[in-house]
Amino acid sequence: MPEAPYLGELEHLLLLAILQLEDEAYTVSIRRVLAAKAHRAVTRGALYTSLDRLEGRGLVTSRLGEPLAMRGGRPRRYFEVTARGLEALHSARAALANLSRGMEIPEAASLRSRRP
Amino acid sequence: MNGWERRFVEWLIGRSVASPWRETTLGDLDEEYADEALRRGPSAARRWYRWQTLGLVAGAARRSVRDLTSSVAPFLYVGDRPMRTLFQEIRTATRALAHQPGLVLVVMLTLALGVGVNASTFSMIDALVLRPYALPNADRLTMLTEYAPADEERQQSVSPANYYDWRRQAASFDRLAAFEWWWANLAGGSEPEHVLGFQVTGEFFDAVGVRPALGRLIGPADESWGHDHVVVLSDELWQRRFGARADIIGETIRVEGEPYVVIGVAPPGFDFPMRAALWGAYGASPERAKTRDSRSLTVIGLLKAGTTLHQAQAEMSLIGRTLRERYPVANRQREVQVYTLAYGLMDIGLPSILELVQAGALFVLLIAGLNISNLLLARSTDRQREIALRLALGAGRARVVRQLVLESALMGLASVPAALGCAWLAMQLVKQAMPARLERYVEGWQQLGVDGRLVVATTIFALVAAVLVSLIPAVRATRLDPNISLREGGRSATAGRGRHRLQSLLVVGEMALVLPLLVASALATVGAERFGHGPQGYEAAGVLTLQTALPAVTYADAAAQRQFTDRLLDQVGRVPGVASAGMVSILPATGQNSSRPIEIDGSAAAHGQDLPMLPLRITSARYFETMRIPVLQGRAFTEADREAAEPVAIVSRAMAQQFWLGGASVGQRFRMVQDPKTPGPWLTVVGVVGDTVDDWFSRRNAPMFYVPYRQFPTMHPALVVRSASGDPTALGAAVLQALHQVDRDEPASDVMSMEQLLRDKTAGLVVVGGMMGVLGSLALALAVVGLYSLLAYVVSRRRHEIGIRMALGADRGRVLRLTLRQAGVLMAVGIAIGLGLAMLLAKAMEGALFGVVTLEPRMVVAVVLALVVTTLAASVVPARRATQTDPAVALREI
Repeated sequence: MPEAPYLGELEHLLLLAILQLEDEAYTVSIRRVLAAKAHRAVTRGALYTSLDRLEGRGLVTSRLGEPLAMRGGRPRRYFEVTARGLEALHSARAALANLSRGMEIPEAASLRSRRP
Repeated sequence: MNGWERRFVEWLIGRSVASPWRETTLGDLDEEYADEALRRGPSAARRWYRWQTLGLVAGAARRSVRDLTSSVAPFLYVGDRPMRTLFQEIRTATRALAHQPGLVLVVMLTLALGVGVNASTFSMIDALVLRPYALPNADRLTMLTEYAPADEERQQSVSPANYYDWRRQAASFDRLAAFEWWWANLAGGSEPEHVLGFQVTGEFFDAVGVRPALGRLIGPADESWGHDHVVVLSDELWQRRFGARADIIGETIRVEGEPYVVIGVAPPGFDFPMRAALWGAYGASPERAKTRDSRSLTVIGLLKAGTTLHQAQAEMSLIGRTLRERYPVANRQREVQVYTLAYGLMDIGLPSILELVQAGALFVLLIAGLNISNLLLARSTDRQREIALRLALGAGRARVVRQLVLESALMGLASVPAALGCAWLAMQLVKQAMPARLERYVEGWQQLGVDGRLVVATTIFALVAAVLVSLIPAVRATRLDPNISLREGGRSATAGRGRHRLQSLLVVGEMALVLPLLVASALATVGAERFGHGPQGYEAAGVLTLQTALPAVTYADAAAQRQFTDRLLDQVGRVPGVASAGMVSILPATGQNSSRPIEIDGSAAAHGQDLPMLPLRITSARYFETMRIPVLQGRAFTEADREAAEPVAIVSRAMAQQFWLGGASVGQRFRMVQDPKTPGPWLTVVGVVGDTVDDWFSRRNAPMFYVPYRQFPTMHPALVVRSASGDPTALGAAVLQALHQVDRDEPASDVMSMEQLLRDKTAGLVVVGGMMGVLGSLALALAVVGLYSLLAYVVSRRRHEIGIRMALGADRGRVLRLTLRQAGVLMAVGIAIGLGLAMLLAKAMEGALFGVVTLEPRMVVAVVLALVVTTLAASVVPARRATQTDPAVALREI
């Protein structure tokens, strides 16, 4: 089995957002979730490019929905995480867990107090 | 958001987003827009929408730039990375230039001057020689001539029969049209007037490619004999004489005393050839169509698409040979030549005149270039340290040279607008110098101006000149040992010897170039002056001239023509203030001519052998007296030389000397032989008169003979009237009235003083003389500036040395002499070389151009003196500054 794919930070967040949104994961909702839960304002261009890249790497798939009147008769593009995408998420979480095991990240205030 | 903005945004997004995302993106925007509108109101939502669009477009632009650079990158970053280096160098050069605004300004102005004068001469050559005809088909139009190598004149008209044969046989042309000069007398309605017209064949208008503004143009159907009394008016004539009436079409007007139907009006601005005002149909009578030995037609051909001039020439040569074999007498020695229209119709003298001016302009540019070279050379001495540092840090020499050349090229580019300004100014001056009346005789004059071609040419000129002038200084500046230069710190007791010598050489070069240009411009100005005011063989002052042409219908027979002149001379003679009046068939200096083959009685000329062609003038008895042409031997014509009396002639001195031993011609006989079968009567020479200058270019002091009008009546009598008071123009109205008393419908053209006529004839030369004068003064100014700046520079460099000299006891006079001697040596060498060049140039000018002026020692001395005085004056300032050196200060400086 090949090594699990590496994830960039934005890619990581995107995959999580898609998973979270389940069936309702399309461009607009993904952006909203990122803004609301991760406090990340992603530009439209960056969003589309990253989603494109994820799809190109086989980590997500996309499909077009029905044309909607509220979108000027244009369809939504829905996303779904693939098995390979899930693998990547697992491996990234494991890496984080490995790195932070048995360690408490100190509060920022503690750094300030140590200053001369 | 309104409709078009939305469409525009959708289009923009379509361009910026890859196709699979296009629909989604637009849909997303719509969906979020609705949301925004709900939350923050419609106007905020609109703002948001626009902002989003902008973001998408900017992102796309950024991406495409990145893609582009990454795809070009492999080529950019090979080896020395030429492109990046070039941009870097341009930046460096711009910075370097910004640090020396004074130098940049001087170089730019000098360059602009040099390039500007060249641009204006280029523009003149372009407009007048290369493409003088603004005709729709100009690039495919050719001119066909019958050319006899034995004849002196390059252009030969074509006989009707040959033209018709060509038209039938030639396959290289879509159209083959012919036209004939038609100096037409318009009568009826208002004042009678002469207008310039041409009788054209049916294919003429199709050949040049114009369409009628009104009615129709002359077509093939109008060529048939008997149906050819139709005319087309020029827009100008239609407006001026016929009040732009649309119902003029179909009306009958009287031209040359005959009725002609107006069939159309040409489009505005169309006046080919020669500002024609009227075009009639050329319908040859059956006899005329068979004429092969009288040549009056100008033939133009529209090349078939894809046919070259060369192919057309090959075909026409063949046709010419066949016709020569079939009609060996009429077509003897005749060959067919095909030229481009511009070349075929060009004034023979024009190209060589323009070449002269262009050569003068090039000299100015050369001198300007030497000046700039010198300046850059001096400058590079100051930059020695910088250059040495670059070389020491490992810059290749080629790179430093390139850097310096680039700086110059940038200055060249920057000088283009100023150069165009110079060119425009020069053209305005030239245009103003040319009398409006004469512009029609200069094809293409109207097109003189600044256009796209000129801008391109000027830019190329400026770039090439700027690069060339910087090469020597750049190469020179980099030829140094960084070790030494850095240690010296750019300062030394005396400037580098080699560089100094080079600078001196450049100044010598300038002097050597200025002198020939000055001599040439002196020759041209003096020549132009003499054309108009020099000895003409007659006395122009105080003479009024007037030209007429009798319509063939009313003056068909010799008696009527004779009677007209009789009555005209009689009437004019009675006008108060007229000292004397005479008549001549062709006025001097009009550029017109009429020649006849003559046979000298007793000469060995075998029958049919080539007879000499000599210019003929038909005159009245008092013509010589009125013009004050001296009668050298025998007598002038008298009233007794009538039709019934013995036929007589008067010959010019040159003719007498050419044909009779010792010029003893009185009592000798000769005759005109138009047709070998029916030679004219023998003419007895009764007098010899002085030579006159008829044409400054080709028929100066040419042999000429005169016959009395009563024995040889003419249709084209011109009047010369000498005023008793000395002011000929005051007689104008009275003389015209006298003419109208003789014939109410007879218009007079060109009523003007003989001096005015001469001035008109030489106006072009005066313009050229003036241009050469301006070029000469520019060159002189540039050279003086060049010498001045060199000396000033040398003096500033030698301050230390001069300080030592003065400290050691040299007085001011000595120091002054030191500097002046240097200037003197440069000048002497330059003048010596320049004199040689000037002689060569003057010889070329004498031969090719005027012939009126030869290089007189007087003129050379004057020019050299002018040069010496101005340059000495220029060198006195720096020399005096040298004497004011305070040794104490100068010595401490180093």
